[in-house]
Formats: sequence, C-alpha cells, structure tokens
Amino acid sequence: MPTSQLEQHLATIESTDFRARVGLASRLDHYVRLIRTYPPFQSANEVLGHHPDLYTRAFDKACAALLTDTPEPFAHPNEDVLCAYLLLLQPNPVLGPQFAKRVLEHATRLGWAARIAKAVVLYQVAKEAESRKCVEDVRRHTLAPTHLSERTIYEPPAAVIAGAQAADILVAMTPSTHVRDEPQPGPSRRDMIRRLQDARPSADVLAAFAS
Amino acid sequence: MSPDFDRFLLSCSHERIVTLKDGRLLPTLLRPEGHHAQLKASRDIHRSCEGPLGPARFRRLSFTYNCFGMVLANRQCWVEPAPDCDIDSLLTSAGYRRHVRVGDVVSGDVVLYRAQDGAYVHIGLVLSATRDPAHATMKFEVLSKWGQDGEYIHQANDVPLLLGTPREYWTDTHANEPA
Repeated sequence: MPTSQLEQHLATIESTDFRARVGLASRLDHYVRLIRTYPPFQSANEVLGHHPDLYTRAFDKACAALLTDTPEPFAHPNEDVLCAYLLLLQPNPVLGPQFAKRVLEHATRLGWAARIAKAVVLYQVAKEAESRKCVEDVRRHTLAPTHLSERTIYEPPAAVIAGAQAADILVAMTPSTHVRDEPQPGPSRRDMIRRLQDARPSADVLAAFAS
Repeated sequence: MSPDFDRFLLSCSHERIVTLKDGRLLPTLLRPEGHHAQLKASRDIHRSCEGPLGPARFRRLSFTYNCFGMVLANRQCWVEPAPDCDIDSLLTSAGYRRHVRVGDVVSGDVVLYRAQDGAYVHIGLVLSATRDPAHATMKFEVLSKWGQDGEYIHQANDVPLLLGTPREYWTDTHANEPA
C-alpha cells in the first residue's frame, strides 16, 4: 500500500503540473519553497519518513529520470524533477549523496539541477564531518565570492567546477561504507592541479638545457 | 527538512558576478538553453493565457534568463538576488528610483511584484501607461519573463498567481534630465 502511494506521488511529481508550478520561480529560495510546498512532494516525503525502506524505490525512479536522453548542450529535460528527487532523497545518508554524486557526474549537461546537487553534497559532507571548520573550508575552497569574481567568461560553468570539487570532497571524506559500490577514486582534480603547479624541472633537466 | 540545509543551499547559488551601475556586485547564473521539445512544453503550459481572448501575448522563449535577468542584465543571464537581498538597494544600485505616484509612471519604467508575504518575486518592464478615466486608475501594459518560461506582454495584473501582484513602480529617469 505505501509503495503504491509513493509511486502515485512520484508520478505526480514527474507530471506537467509540477513543472508548470516550479517553472515560474525566478529565485532559488522561491523555487525550493514551491517544490517543498507541492502537496505530492510533501506526501511522498511523509511516506518515506514512515517507510525508510522505500527510499531505494525513489532512488531507482530518480536514476531513471536522470538517465533520460539529453541532447547536448541543452538543459536536462527532467531538471525540475531531479531537483525534487534531490530534495526528497537528501535525508537519506546513503542514497542522498549517492544520487547527488550521480547528478554531478552529469553536471556538464545540467545547470539548475547541478547547483542543488552540489549543495546537497556539500551539506552532506559538512554534516558527516560534524565540524564547523569543514563547512568553512568547503565554502572557502569552492564558493568564496572573491574566488568567483576572478573567473572569466571563458571558464567552464562554475557549477561544474564546484560540483566536481564537491564530488572529490565527498569521495575523500565520506566513510567508505557509503561508497562501497563505487570504484576507488583516483587523484582528485585539486590534487592533479596542485601536482601540475608543483611540477618544476629538476636540476638535471635544467643543466641539460643549459648545456 | 532542516532550515540549516536551506540556508546552505542558498549560499551555493552563485556562479557569475556582474557589476551594477554603482559598482555593486550582483550574482548571476549561466543556464543551458532548453531543447526544442522542452521549450514547446514550456509554452504549452501557458497556451491558455495566449490568443486574441487571452490576457497575455507571447513574445519569446528561452531558459537562459529570468525576469530579473531581462530587466537588470539585458537578457544575458539568469539573475538571482539572494533571499536576504534588499531589493530597494539593488534597484537603487542599478540606477532606479521609486515612483511615489503611480500617475508618474511612463514607458520603460519597472514594475515590481510581491507575494502576499511581501517578498519580491517578479519584475517587469512597463511598455505603456494609459489613464483610465472611467475607473480613475492607470492601465499598464507590461513585458515580463515568467520564471524560466516565456516572455509575455500583458496587463500588469494578468500574471500567474505565483508571480504575485504589482506593488511598486521604479524609474531610471531623473527629474533634472532635459525633456
């Protein structure tokens, strides 16, 4: 019974009615409020609250919505639905960040959704670390206004950069049980940049050039 | 859902910064354009508002900017003032001043929409202002962008309920300018 209720609420969230409602929002706070106050969203949230085992079903539906074919370089056809799923799955400590991470992996094809995915991941990271310092570190490294203002228009979308950084942070900081089914991460983007910056020609190489 | 998360979410929303007239920095976003099918679906949502009998006339459709982007950034990007941003100071920074009398509103001025709780939710450009002697009021034809949906030409009050009601009019003309 709760399963069919949840299915019904999720189907409504994926309908045009939901899209017509949240598409009118011009500001993110308004957008999030419209999603959160959408009655089927609230009902789905309630069902999940009473039956946490159904999170996997919502996760499967969310992944199906994410994997809808998206022609480049357009916005994802389900971006509003994805935002709803991100907010719906966010309370689950395992599936929430896992779905956010999957959305971030598609971030080059998303704008709106990636932004919320990034926030979900960053929040989860900060929450798991249970440290104020961590929150500040994440903000300083990825979101500081001074950092953003230095970007030029030729750089890739900041959401993609911050999203990739957040995914790196997530992989680095999340307890291994949370990403057990994921492949082991290689060096993070930041590590690679640092390595490139630190790379200096050795004395032997310089001597060879001098000669 | 924790309010803490909401605050965090909103702190993550900026991607680009543009500079306003007085040097103030305004956060903006670059959003991908919608696919043809998405744009069509978006237009279909408001199709009932269009047409000779409908209250709104469709002008154009793009996902890349919103109402604030149309007015403050010339349709170049999605402008999203922070929720705690003082809209009065923002419009002042952009070179606007508030009209005290509705009768002074002229074409090119800006109309600000607020929700029932007083929060500003929408903005539009006044295309024409005409006096309505029968009702002793003014009629304003407005051009505005409805969220990520289309740009519409409509009477000031003819917007979807979620976009609030017209409350204030702002102008960028000044009294000391030559006529």
